[in-house]
This record gives sequence, structure tokens and C-alpha cells, in this order.
Amino acid sequence: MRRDVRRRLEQYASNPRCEANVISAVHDVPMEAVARALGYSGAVGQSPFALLRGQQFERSLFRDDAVRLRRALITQKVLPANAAGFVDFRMSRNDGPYPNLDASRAAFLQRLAAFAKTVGDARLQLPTILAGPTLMVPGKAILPDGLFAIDVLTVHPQPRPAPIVLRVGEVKVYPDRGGFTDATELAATRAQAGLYVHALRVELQQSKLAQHFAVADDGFLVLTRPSFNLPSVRGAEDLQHQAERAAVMFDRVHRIAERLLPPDSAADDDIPAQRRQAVLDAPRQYADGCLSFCELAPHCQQTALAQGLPAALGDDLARFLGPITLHRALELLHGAAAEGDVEHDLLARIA
Amino acid sequence: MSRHDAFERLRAWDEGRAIANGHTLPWLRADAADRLVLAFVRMGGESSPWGLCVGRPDAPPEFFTCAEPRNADLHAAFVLAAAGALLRHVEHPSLLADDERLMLLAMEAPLRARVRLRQLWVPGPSHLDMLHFLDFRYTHANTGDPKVVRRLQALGRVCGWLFRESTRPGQVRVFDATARLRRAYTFPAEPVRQAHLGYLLAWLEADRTRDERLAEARAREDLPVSVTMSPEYERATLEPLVTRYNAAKDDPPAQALLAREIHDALVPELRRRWELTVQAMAALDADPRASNPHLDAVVDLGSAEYFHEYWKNEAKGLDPNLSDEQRRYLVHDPETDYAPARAARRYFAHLHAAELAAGELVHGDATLVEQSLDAGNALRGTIRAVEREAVAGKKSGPILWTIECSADDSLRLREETSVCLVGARKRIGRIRSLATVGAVRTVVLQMTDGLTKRSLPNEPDAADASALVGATVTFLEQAAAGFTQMKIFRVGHTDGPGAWLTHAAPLPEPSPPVRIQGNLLDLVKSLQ
Repeated sequence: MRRDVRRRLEQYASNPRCEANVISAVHDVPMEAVARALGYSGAVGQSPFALLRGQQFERSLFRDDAVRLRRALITQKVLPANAAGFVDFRMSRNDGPYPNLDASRAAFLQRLAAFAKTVGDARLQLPTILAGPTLMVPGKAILPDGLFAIDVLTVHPQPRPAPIVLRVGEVKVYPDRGGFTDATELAATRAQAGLYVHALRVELQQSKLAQHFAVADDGFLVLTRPSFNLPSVRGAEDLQHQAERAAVMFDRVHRIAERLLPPDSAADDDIPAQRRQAVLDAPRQYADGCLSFCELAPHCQQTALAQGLPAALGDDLARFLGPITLHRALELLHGAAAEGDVEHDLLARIA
Repeated sequence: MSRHDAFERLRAWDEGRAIANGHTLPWLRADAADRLVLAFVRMGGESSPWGLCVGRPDAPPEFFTCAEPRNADLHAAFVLAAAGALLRHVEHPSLLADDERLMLLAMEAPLRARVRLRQLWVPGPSHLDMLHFLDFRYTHANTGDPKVVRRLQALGRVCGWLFRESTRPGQVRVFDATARLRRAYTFPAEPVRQAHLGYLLAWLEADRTRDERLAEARAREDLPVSVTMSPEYERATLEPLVTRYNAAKDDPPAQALLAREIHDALVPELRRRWELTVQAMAALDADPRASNPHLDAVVDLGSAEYFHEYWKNEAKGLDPNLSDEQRRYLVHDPETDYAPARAARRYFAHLHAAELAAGELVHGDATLVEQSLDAGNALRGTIRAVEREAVAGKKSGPILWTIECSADDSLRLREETSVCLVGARKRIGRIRSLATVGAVRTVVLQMTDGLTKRSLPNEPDAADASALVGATVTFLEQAAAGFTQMKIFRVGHTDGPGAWLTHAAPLPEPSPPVRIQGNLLDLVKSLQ
């Protein structure tokens, strides 16, 4: 596998309306390679310092049976004051015990099955924090295997016959500044967490464990305290809408995944031209957000400008002009006679 | 997206350049001596600055950097060195002689006049965020030499105040150069692209075609201007230096050399951001449009905020007789208002600032009047009749103006709304009736203030039908900023409306004050 599924899920969620983006994410055709083939300098990339900080922060959360994270979760009332127990499903490269995602997933499902069988005090004393459990994208829709690890789950056992509640948490390294926290970052994080809620529900369904567990509609975000390497937890984040959105999104992913592309190369940096071409040939839907994640965005913006697509000057202008192209809008501004209701309506709005 | 925004962006694309927004600029130009330009860079993933560049726009700036920003001591030393420039800019009371400070505390006018036009310019919003992060990091600093800690705390507080001030609507103290350019011009680009200062400046280049400007803008866009540097630059240049710096911890001379190299690698990044900000400032200064002539009230409010929300508390905090507990209440916490009433008070202060700016500036800018008309907050029409209403038992009744407007114009104003005349704002009327017949909307105004030539020497008397009938007039909803200002004070009362919300909840317990500790070991012991 060239890139991890989780990152491709983020890429997909950034612009699910663009079919080229969806094919790139689903079939693992790096957009960077597509852009480079067109002569654009590729990678948006990540800061080495930021990567290191992220790893250090996540490790610090789970060190010593996740004492630091547990304290923050208890303070924010995500977990009760007497919460205890920690199970680590992370891979060895992230300081966990498992060699790969398959082993992590098998252990996770096995542990859930064991949880389901517990009764009495044993049930109420289940471990409350699960780090890095691995899930599979519903129907293996993200190729090749659809496996990805989520950051953290909390377990909220209840006496039988009530199901054990699982709550999804997402760890991010950006600072929590209360009302000044970056709204775009928060929205992306919630979307990601909602996607995991949906994937976990499907996973439980497929593993026939659904009657023993309930995935909470709300989750929590673990951010950093500004200027300190300490967690700041935002509890009771409503993820219901995001999970529903993810369900709709996966339906579409299935359809794209069913498309056959030429086989991938074994070498990481060698993408067969036909696979790149499949991305280039797919309909593209340029949007403002593309700039922040897609290496092909400059190309798409230039193409959109050449075609007179209003999105090239902003999503808001695209909504304002509707089906009218930029070229036609300028003609109308210069006094051309309007044809049809749409153009008359535009003239009335800008008159 | 408003009609105005869409139309203007299309027009800008058509003309292939940035086009002016409005007839005036909503801030005053200031001398270089009153201006300070500040730019930051940070290490990827970190929230505090790695380096900063500060200085007046007419002189070479100073550069301050830190070899390893993750080292708390090195970071504190670096920001301490840079603190002077900011504290001088805001006339921090610790820099004044005792008698002068006490005099200014008693008579605020001289100080407010001195700082009236002081401006801090930064390249963009991420640089403003750095001020907030410095507030988080240093306002409650408590470890180290007490004198040093006090200065770091003062730096944290000034950064916190400047950040909060930058969020107050209409303020003219803290200038985000990117936002000011977008306020002054409409650019032919997606809003998300307009977050890049270099990209915007390319669209302001003179004597270029659209394609040339677009190519230049795209080229400039490749160079980052936010506080985050290019990952490639960090990976190729800075990471090896920082790694070598950390590895040489037992070799101070080698570390000093590496610190110099890190400084030299950060300087060009800082310089570019600082220079772009100065270019943006120069472009705005060179704009032929005048400043809005109704800015006085906005600027005065800014200097009042400076005095009451910042300087007064700083000056009081220098009193050596204050206990730590008393001094603590003079400090604004970066994370919370603590008391709901205090939060409500700031909410009303911001609302008042927004209403004041909107209400004042609209009288100085024809574009804002047009936008008010579009939004339905104003009415424009022709005076068809001016008459005095007959009132039994009175010699003369109220003056009524009958104005005919187009029924197609949007109008949110309703009967009993007070409106004032554009161009003669003291002339105020109240809408007595609104009636629409066919394509004509008839508005009857009862004139209430500014009726005579004595109050408005350049206008005919409000009852002078011969001079007024047939004239086209525009009336705006009269700003009611005064009501909100009253609420700022009333929200503190324990028995007024809303007190159940602001005063009933038990206040959160503030954490006990932590005494400044000379070293970390003492601090840890004191906490046990």
C-alpha cells in the first residue's frame, strides 16, 4: 500500500464532489504524481517538526496507561471519575504492540467479543480507554484493503441488557483556544470523527456484535493546550450529522471502487501512466477548499478559468452565477441582451 | 454573497485588477513614528513564535530569534529581548517616571491624545494569533527571576490586549494588512486565495495586464507569508541545523555558531513578511481616497478602550502596596472571563463598537449609503410635500415630509423607526406611515430634530417647502449605539434584567495565586 487509508479518507472527505479526487483517494493514485506529470511542482508536504510534535503528543497521551489522557477525559466528564483500564491496539511503529493493521484489527475484534460476554462486576470494570483500534472501511471501499486505525475509543459499560457504549475520540495537535480555535480545522476534525463513528457501526454490524454495543452519536476531540504539550479535551461533540454524511459518502465510494483501473506498480514512486490518466480523465470539480490539500488545484483552477467556470473565482460566485459562465456574465455586464429566465434573473439581481 | 460583492468581483475580473471598495478608507493614516510593523515565524506544529521582526516602517527592522523554540528558557530569553519594542509602542506605564504615571492615571486625556493614532501592523491573521499564543504562554509565567518574570508577564498581557483589540469591530489600532487590503479593494480571485498578502499585492501592480498580474500573483503565492514556513525549507535548511544544535549541547561555542546560522536562516523569512506588510501599508497610504471624515468617534472609542481596558490596569498593577490577590484581578485571563457579567460586558462593548462604526462611517462614504439602501436599511426618494400638521389648541403642529420612493426598493424600516438625513445627520425624522400603491411607496416622516438653520446652517429650514419639494433625499436608520453603551454598565447590576443569568450562577473558583518562584524545583515543592 502506497499511502495510509486514513490519510486518503481525509483527502476524499475534503472534496467528495470531485470525481478525480475520489478516484485518486479510492484507488490510491497519489495526486502529487498526477500533478508532477503535468509539470506542476508536487508536494504540499508536512513540516518535519510538526510531524515529530504530533507523534510526541500522541505518545505522551498514551504513556503510563494513558494517565494524561484519562485525567483530561475525567476532567471534561467524558469518563467517570473512577474510570480505569487501558488497552493498546496501536502498531509497533507508534509504540504499540502490533506489527501491522491486520493484527491490530483481529485483536480489537477479539477484545470486543470478550467484552460482549462479560457480566456483573467484570462488565462494569472493563478497560475504559482503547488506543488505536483498527477498522475496515465498509466494503473495503478504499483500496486495496480499507484498513485504518482510529485514534482512541472510550468504553462506557452498563449492566446487561443495556449495550456497552463506545465513544469515538480524535486526537489533533492544533491548539484549543476556546472560541478562537480555527473553525475550519474543527469542522474537518468533526467530519473525520463522524466518519469513524459510521465505520465503527458498520464494523460492529459485520462482526455480529452490534446487539452488544452502541456507538455514541457524540464523541470527543483531544487538542493541545496552547503553548503546552498537554491535552485539552472537547467533550460532547455531536457527530450524528457527520456520521450520516459519511454513510452517504461511502455509498458513492463503493461505486467508484468498482471501477477497474490498470494494476498498480510495485515501486512506491512509479505510478503507471494509465492510472494517472484515469484521474486526469475523470470529471473535476474545482472548489475553494482544493487549494489546501490537492496538488492538482492550480491546474484545475486554470482549466476552470479557461472554461469560464465561476468556481474559478470562488464557490460563492459559483452559487451566485449558477449555470452562467464567467464569459457570459461579463457579456451581460457589458450590455448584452439576456436570454432565458436564468440570465434575466441574474440581471435583476445585479442591476 | 451580496449583490455588491458578486458584481464587484466580476467587475474586478473584467478590468483585470483590484478595484477600490468605497469612496473612503475607514481608518486614519498615521506617521511612521506612530506605527510598528511586526511579523512572526514559528516552527511547524508549535504554537509559539520561533522568530519575530519588529520595527517602524521607515527604518530597518530588528530581528529576534531563538535557536530552539521548544526550550522554554531560550524561548523566554528571546521574547524578553523583543518585549521592549511592543511595550514602548503601547506606552507601558513601567517605562514612565512615577509622577508622570500617576498624573496620567488621574488625567487620561494627555495619554489618550498621545496614543490616539498608534497602529500595530502585522501581515495576516496567523500573526495576530501569535499574539494570542504569547498571551497564553507568558501572562501567567511564574518561574524564574521575579524581575524577568514581571516583564514576561507584561509582554503576555500586552499581546493579549492587542489580540483582543484586533477582534473589536471597527477598531483602528491593530492592522491585519491582508484584511485591510481586502477591505479597501475587491480582488478578482477566490476568497481563500485572498488570504495571501503577496498574492493581493500583485493585483495592485500598476501598468500590467490581467494575465501579467495573475501570473505574478501565482508566483508570489508560492512563497509563504503566514507564520508557518515552507515544509521544504524546514526540512532542507532548518531541521539539520536544529538537529546539530541540539546534538552540540555540551559544546557551547559550537552551539553559539549554530544558533547564529539558525538566526541567519530565519531572517530572510521574517524580512519577507515584514517587507510585504510595509508594502501593503504603503499601497494603502498611496491610495487617492481620503480617510472617512466621520472617524473621530471611532478613534476616540479606540483610545478609551486602550486606557480603560489596558493601560489603567497596567498602571494600577505597578503599585507596590497591592497584594498578589489584588493584582490578579487587574489581569485579563487568556482563557476565560471568569464572571458571566464580565463576558456580557465585553459582548456589549463589541456590539457598541460595531454599531458606532457602522452608524458613523456610513455618513462619510457614499458606497456605504448605497449598501445600506441595498440592505433595506435606508430609503431614498423625492420630497413631494412639506407641511405642518394642524393640531387643535396649538399654534403650530409637527412638520411632516411626504417622500415618494420606488416600491421596488427593499426596505426593512418600519413605522416609528427614527431616520436621519444623509449629508445632514442632525436632521432626524420618525416614520409616521408607509403606504405602497402600484410602483410608488409613499413615506410620511415627522421631523423631530435639526429643524432650523441654526442647527444646520447649510440646509434649508425643515418647514421650507419651496426649497425642499422636488429634492431627492436619502434617509438612514438612525444609529442607536447609545443604548448598547448603557447596557455595558447595566449588565454589571445585580438586580437588572438578565441578572438571573449573569449573577445567579456560582462563579468558578479562581485558582490560587502562585507566587513567582526563582527556580523550577522550588515551584514543584510549593505545589506538593
